[in-house]
Amino acid sequence: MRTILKVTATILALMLIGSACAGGGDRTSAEESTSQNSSTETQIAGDNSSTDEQAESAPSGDTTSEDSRNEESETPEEVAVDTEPEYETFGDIIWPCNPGTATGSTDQGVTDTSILIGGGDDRGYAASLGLNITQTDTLQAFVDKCNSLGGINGRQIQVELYDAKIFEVNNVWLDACPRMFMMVAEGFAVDGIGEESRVQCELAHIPTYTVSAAAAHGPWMIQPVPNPSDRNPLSMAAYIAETYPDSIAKSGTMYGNFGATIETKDKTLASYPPLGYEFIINLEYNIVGEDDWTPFVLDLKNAGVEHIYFTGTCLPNYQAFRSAASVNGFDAFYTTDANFYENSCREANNDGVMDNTFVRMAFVPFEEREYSKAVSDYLDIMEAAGGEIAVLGMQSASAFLLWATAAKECGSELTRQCVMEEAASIDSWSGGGMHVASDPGINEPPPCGIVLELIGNSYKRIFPTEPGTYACDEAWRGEFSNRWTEDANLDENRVSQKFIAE
Amino acid sequence: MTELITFTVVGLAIGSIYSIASAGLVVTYTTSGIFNFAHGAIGMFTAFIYWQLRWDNGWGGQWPAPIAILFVLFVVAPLIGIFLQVVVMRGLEGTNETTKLVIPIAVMLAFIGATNWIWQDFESRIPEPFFGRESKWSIGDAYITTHQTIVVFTALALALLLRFLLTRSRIGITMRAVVDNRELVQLNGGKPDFAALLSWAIGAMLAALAGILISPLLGSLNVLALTLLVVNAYAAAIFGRLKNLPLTFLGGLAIGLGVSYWNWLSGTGRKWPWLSELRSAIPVVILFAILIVLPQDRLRGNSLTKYKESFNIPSIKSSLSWGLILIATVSACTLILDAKWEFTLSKGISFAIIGLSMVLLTGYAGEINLAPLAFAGIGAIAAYQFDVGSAVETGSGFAILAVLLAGFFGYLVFPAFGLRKSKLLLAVLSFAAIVLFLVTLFDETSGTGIASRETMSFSGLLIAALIAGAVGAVVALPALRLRGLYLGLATFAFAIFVDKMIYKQRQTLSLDIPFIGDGEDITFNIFNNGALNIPRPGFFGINFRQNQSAMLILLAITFSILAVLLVALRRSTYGRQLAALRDSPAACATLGLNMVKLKLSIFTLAAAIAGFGGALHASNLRAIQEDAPFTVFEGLALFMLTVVGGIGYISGALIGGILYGTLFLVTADFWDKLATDWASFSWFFTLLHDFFIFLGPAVAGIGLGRNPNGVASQIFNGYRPLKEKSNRGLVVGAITLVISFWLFRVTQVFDGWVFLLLSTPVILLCPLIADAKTKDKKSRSNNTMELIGIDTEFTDDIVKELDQKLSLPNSVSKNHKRGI
Repeated sequence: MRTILKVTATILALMLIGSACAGGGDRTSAEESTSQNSSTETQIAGDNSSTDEQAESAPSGDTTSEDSRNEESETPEEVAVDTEPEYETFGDIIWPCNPGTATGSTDQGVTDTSILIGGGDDRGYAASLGLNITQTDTLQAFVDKCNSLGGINGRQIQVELYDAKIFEVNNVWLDACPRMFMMVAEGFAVDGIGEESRVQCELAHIPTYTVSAAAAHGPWMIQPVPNPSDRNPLSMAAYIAETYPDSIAKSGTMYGNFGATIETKDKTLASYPPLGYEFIINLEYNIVGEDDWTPFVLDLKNAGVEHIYFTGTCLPNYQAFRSAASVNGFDAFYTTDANFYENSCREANNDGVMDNTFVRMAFVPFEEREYSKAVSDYLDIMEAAGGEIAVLGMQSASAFLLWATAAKECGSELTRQCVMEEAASIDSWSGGGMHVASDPGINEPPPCGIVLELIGNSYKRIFPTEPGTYACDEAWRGEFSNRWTEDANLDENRVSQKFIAE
Repeated sequence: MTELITFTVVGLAIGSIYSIASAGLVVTYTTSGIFNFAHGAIGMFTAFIYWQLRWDNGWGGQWPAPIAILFVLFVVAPLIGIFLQVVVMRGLEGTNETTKLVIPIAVMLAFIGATNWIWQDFESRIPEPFFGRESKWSIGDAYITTHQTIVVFTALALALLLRFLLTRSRIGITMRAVVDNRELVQLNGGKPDFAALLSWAIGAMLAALAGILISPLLGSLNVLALTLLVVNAYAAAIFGRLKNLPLTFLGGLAIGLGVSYWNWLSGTGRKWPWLSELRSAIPVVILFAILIVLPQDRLRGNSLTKYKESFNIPSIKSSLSWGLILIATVSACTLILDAKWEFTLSKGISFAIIGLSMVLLTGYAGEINLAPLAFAGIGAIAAYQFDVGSAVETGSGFAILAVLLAGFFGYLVFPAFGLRKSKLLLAVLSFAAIVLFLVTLFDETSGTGIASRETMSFSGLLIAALIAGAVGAVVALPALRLRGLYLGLATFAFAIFVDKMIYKQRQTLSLDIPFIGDGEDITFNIFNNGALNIPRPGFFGINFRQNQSAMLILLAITFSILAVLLVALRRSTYGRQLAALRDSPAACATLGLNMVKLKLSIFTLAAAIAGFGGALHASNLRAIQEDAPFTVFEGLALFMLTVVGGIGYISGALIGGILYGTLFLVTADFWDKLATDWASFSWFFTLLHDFFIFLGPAVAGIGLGRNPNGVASQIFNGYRPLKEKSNRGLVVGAITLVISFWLFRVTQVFDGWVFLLLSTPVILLCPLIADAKTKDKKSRSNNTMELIGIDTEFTDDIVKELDQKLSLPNSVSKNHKRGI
């Protein structure tokens, strides 16, 4: 018996060694590229000319004026740029990290020399491995960068990266609560499960994104790109309604069978109809995958649907569904959210099966990096550090920079209270120019956006057509309320009271 | 018409894959008598290898499809099959049914672990259908992809080929002959071993083929989903009664078509929201149904067989004292452990509580249950919904529900204890009254649905036990006539059913209990958004929420109390009936025992224990999710490790639970720490860490699952010399030493490492020294067994020893009292 045990162990060990040798190559190359980090940094520092250009050309309408106001309010720092040119910038802001003399254990997780923060994603979710791993990749790269610049007023940032594997969000908060200063740039697809624990332990966070109503309006929470559950900016909806006025009355949705996608679908169902949309069929699919998508295609075909809002992930479900649609000769056009702007999705569309997919964005796409220094800076940092590049990653970068900017303002007396107040006091935040400027303090998304279309192996900007710009319209705020917002029990400031102790 | 054609084609394609997979199961079962639980996992594993060769650049670039397929089917898969037969399965001949189930389960977990280990980077693996996504042809308006066509024709060709192989070829006839009579085949010059090897190779090939064909349909490679898809083929194999290939093929097609037509009928689950997940559960529902309806010709086979297991039953006194020792040890541990380790240990003990249900059901009564965690999950959900969630608005509604459940529970369990008519009525009524009293006394439900404001009350745990028990009875009722493998499969089907239909249920149920409250008294959503936050208990004014030590001790106390109760049960008349049921159901029936009542009661009791343990476990974890910790695969792992521990012993449950919940995690963490401390050897320690995380349980199962008495009995035997009077000094010395080390640790003189390094050798060496001493003494007195009674007198000690050697119950004390 013992020999069997040994033999099994050895063979499996040998198999492992084999696979480790095969897969090891990538890792070393990633490490090599990290070592080149310093050389790229100097390049970024020298490249200041594009900042002004971007500030002039980027946002249209109100956002431009907001941005210029923002620049005015930060004049003291601009003076600093002039006198000490070695200050590095990220897009149109100065890196909020610098050496300093901050001291004291001013709050949980803060020491004389360090600040402990947590990040996290759902990379371990079996049905979609690596889900949103870009968040932790980005956070790690930005923390390293910030530390190399001297940290937050001299305190080095230590970061722990959690994996909530979709459903284990609560365990993440239970672990983070007694240790972390704050959670930063994390995002969990089923955040509703953990919100109760987070609120109870009063752990403040600046997440990359939130999903559930309770979390999107959570107390002690500020988002760089607000995504409250009672607003749904209608830029793409309006564009589609204008372009395909006859089809929108024959709309349908497809959504995965779990909370996050159901809530997102309900948002669409609540906010699109005023523009003339009629949803005649809503199909729930198994988020873990279907053996065959043909039945869904036939249902949609029979219902005579011409436009489908699809929520979930591009790979594998959307691709599998679209190939079934293509086999069965079903034509429609599809609207999706920013998570469909993804490299692997683009690359998987060799055969053009996923054409006619529209993606709603609030970020300058990577294709336009020469129009936005911030996007270019983000890409430089990520390309040097290695790790997944995605729009969600830019959002994480924005969350981290918002946190760092607020933390820097607090100086030596670094407390959660102070960070949240400083972050709330910023009226216009665009992550250095990566995305539409918003006011994170009031949890209100700007009524702006970009629409891209997936065509073959590339995303094409179709609205507005001018690169580096957003389309904005006050009519696109998309205010509504539904069962989720009611359940979140919002107070007059739209902060959820659901889990706050009585 | 178009729809009919389309849905038929979809059903035929998926059904063909089920047919291929189930044919593999049948081929291995007929020649080796082993139901290969690992079949699906082999298919999954080979599908990964195929993907790796075909679409990834890691292993020598992207191979052309035909070469990759041929390589996987004719090199990789047969090697896996032959390896399994030679190293693992061949040794299973003549072992009992539990072992024959446990080893393949362990192999399945090993494949799942190995796959997770090898392909652990986070990446979507997209296998493409043959000839691309756009390749298709059409009948009228219905389109059929080339992949679907290939699948159906492959299945047809295989059916013919297998038919030919088994009926016309010499080796095929040998393979079939081996099943009927191995010895005769050997006498006629056949090679049964070769036939078995061949059947395993063919079985693995068929599993691989099914895996390769099905993965493009699924869209991406997913370890558990792929494994479970082939599990769907079990129903087809059972439909063919595990021996008839044509029926098996038909069964596979029928299941595929059934699922497809259900999709058509239900509008992909849209028409009846409550049944929306039934799409993925249909195959197991069919499996359950076939098992029940199937003629039972092979189910007997349980004439008076003497198993190799011999479980000693401890006395109540000793179980009491061991319970106290456990509580004392755990309490001592709380003083030297970090909260993190306390939490890990508490997970182990709560799994052990659930494990007790298996000791009762499988260890004592010999009934196999592969769904222990399904009952535990139901208990946890029940505790949440009725104690924390806003399910029940009125206290009286809750009380009525509890009383009704208690009545049902009592009605199922008490008859087995010999209570009849008026006595039964009295017992049931008084039990219901006790429950009513407890529920009203301990009910602290405020029903806000916010776990963090609440505590788990005793009434919640009570309801968890009652509801899980009732569900256990409902499941057991149809499964009453099944035994062994078939019962295992039926409970396995139930576990998958719970996974799909309960854990993934999103509908809100509203019920109006007549005469109580004001409409909609019970409203609940089983697994709200895929997870429930469950509060810690709040008994005796202790804050279990912040205090992990208190929670750990509470769990240890609960385990000990339940353990003593189980020992008492085993020692009662009822317990002896269970032992009889296990040894020979036929003899039991002949002697006039009411088997139905007995089985029903034991299933109810075991499920109640599992439900109670599940609620406690969930409360300790503070959150449960639809995919953890009560899923079917975790249940299989726990079952396997309890068998490893020794399923006939209380301590087997403890060992199994701690192995599963604690030990592998702790060991892995230990290697992980070494890897960070010793950077130059980090690759080695990381390897060890990964090994324990991914393969630890499976390898333990394969290596140790074969010992019918489990690790527990080996440990008992190892420490037995310490019982002798001459070694008492040694024991006292060792205990004193460990306690003093512990004192040093508590007073912070030692750190954790020093304590571990000093006390472990003492605990491990102590029995060895004692054994050496005893042997020494024995060799001096030259006491060989054969000579006892001839040149030495019979003493109590010697009789005891003889009893032990012959596995007889301890006769000394009784005989002594009677003056014999």
